[in-house]
Amino acid sequence: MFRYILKRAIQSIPLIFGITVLTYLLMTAAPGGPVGALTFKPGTPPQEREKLAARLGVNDPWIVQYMRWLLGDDWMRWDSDGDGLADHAVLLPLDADGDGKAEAPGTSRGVIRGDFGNSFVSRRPVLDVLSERLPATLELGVASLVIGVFVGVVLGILAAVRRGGWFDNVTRIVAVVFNAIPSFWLGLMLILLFGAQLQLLPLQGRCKATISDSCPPIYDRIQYMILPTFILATGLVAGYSRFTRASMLDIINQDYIRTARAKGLNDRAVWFRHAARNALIPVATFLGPAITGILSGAVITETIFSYPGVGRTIVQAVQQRDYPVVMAVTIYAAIATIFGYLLSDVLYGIIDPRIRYD
Amino acid sequence: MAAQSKPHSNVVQLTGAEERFFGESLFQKGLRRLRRDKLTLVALSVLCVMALLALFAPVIINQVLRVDPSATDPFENFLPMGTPGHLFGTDDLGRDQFARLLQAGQVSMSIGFFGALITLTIGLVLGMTSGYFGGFVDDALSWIIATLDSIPSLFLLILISSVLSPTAESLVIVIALIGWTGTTRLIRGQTFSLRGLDYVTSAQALGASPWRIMFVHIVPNLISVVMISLATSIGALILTESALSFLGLGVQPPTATWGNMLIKAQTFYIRGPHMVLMPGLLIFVTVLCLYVVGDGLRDAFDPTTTD
Repeated sequence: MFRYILKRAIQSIPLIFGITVLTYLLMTAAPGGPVGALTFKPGTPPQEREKLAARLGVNDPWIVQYMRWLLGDDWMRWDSDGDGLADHAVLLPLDADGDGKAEAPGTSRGVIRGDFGNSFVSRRPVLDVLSERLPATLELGVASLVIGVFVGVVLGILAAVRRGGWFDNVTRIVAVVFNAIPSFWLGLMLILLFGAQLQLLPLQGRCKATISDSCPPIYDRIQYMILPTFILATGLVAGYSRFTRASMLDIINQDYIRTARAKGLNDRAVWFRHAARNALIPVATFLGPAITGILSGAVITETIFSYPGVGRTIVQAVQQRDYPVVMAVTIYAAIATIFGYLLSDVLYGIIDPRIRYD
Repeated sequence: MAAQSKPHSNVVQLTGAEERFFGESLFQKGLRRLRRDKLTLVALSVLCVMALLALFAPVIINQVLRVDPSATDPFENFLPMGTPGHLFGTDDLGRDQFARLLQAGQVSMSIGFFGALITLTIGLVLGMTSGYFGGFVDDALSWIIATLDSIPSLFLLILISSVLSPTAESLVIVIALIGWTGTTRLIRGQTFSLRGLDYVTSAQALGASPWRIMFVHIVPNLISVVMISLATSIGALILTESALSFLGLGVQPPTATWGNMLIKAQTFYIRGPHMVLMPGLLIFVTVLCLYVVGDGLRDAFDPTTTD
């Protein structure tokens, strides 16, 4: 088991490497680009700007720039005698801007060590910005994951038990509708109905706006969570109910179910004790796609509800051309996805005793 | 029977019912099943109406409605639905919503349609190549697909749109370049299993080149899968485009799409609820019909189902 996890983790390294190359390529292709945005200061003479750009490494070969971003430059140019100027350099020139003096030693630790640089907008480390926003997204994501999986699985089991009946048909329609409805529009309509017309629920936000920008404990602001959680959970309910139903109907024709019936067990015991337990095993593999869905859904849901999470951060960052933040969110979302798929594989092995990873 | 038979007495004449049972191709059987499937037929008709409206949107706007969809009028903004001359009311700038919806429908539906077409072309070429040849090509392609799939596609789209502010044309290409992985995986799997069948082996034994086998022997067997996935992926692409445009990262105004008509929806809760309703409703109905049609086609043309 441990060896399997290790193997899968090692397999995902080239994947993460590919993602960093892709995001870096895309960002350097951006008009103005990260360097352009950093060196832009109104009133700076062009020569000054060129020097600044040279110090930031625009003249280095592409691969060196990428390595600098990925691995940091504190090992590429460093200061061993403590005079504030670099005296050793690998890959980079000691004097990048050509003014006859060595540059200051590198300080970036690189993406691989969690250093995405500073946000262009707030001038603070990207990681600080994101870690402020993460709890809001986590509470929304976990709440909708738990509710969506629970409701979806229960609906799927009941639909399978009453196969062909009205309940089955209703859940099928609900699943198709939830799949086809644009989630942002559903959100807007619900806000319109419950927020603007009936005035039952708040229109937006995570909690009542305060000066200190902090929120009370979660049980004091449940009303703010209801609509966003519902919107995020709809896709999960649609997916899980169909998947569980199919899995239940696969199981129900197997021999051991017939044996259970032949023993004279009542329907309830057959369906819920014998069938449902095994039917839920393949459902575990759905966790990876579910996490991906929640991540994408969070971007849209948080935007509709002006909810201060990571999803809304990336939309704002794109609008403000805050590239370090955009890159960081994308890379972390990708890592979370890879982790989600890994987790669902491992979970599969833990619940299903027939599976051995050797 | 033998007494009245013609020279070719071994040719059995089939009655109508028998012919339906024996002599029917898979395609004919599918059509017959489809004709009985009321829900799919309704969805198909709705789609046809929508497609015609989108196709003739410029004509309808100019000749029938006689309005300029981008003409603004600050004194006639936020008119409610059913106002004479403005069937679906006007928006915040006083533009006629019906004309805008028609125009937007044309853009949104073409993005979905052409995006799905490109996706399918990429999927067919790459999926068949890697499914048929296997080996290094397959490994490399699988790695690329795994990499792309592990970035949630919305984030990748956001990333790309932030680099180039897309127009409708470039957005089609961007969406297709990201959405091809699913179709490719599907076609790769199908090709892989078709490759092992006897008729492919016999074609190989007769000396057919790989390309001939792929395009003459394998493609015809992929058509039903392709048709079904086309319907579903048009729907999915319309949803993606609308979400992206809603976030302000897709097609940029003044070009209207159903998604970007909702960009400012959050400010319309009080004055213009009708503007929140219509664009989303049209996306919903279109995508719902596409999914229903996809499901219906799958049921009708699935060779394993029996009547």
